[in-house]
Amino acid sequence: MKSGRSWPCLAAALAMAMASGCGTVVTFFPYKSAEKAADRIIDDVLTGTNGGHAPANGELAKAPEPVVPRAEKTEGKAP
Amino acid sequence: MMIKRLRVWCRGALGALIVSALAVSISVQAQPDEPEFNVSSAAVLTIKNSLISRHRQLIEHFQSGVIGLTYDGQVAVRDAKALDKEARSVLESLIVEDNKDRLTLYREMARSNGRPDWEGSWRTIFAERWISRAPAGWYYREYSGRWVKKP
Repeated sequence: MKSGRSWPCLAAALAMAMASGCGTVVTFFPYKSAEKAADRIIDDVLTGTNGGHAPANGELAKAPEPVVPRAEKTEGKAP
Repeated sequence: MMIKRLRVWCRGALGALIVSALAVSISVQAQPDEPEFNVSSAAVLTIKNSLISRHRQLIEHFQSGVIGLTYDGQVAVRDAKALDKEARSVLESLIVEDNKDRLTLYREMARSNGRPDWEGSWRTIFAERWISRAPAGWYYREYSGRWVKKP
């Protein structure tokens, strides 16, 4: 009779523990990997390169000169 | 009588503790190793190229402090008075396009890695990393609205 009292307590603890366990799996976000992936993209954008390596010291390379449009190259030529 | 009741409660508490510990250990084991995220999907590469080409036009404005990064992973005008009306209009349209691309990037990073529900987390990560990777002298806007010059 008295030992029966512990079972509801045990069942409640089991349910709570399972719920907390499931919650941990669902909300898990791999922060470090995501940070690395984001850094790769950001460094490519900031340095103007496509697929380049991230600068180790955080300094950024100078963006390459923009390509001169073809129309400007032919300017001044006789038609 | 009291001792017997105490013993029953102790047994129950011990059982609950063991079950909790087991569940926690299971949940910890269930967490996979940190995965290597795909940053080269077609959609992500397209957006990245778009950001790269626009960045060449925006970089001087970042350096001069006319525009800056924001706490939520976007770009905003900081000092609109520094430009004439025409230049401001051009810059604002560039920023609108850039912000669209940034939001698409966060969405595609989540989608191409099989977890569309992580879009918000990606945005948070990117927001933090844009500011972290930006060179000294660039401005960023905090949640409070205050602009801060990166030391």
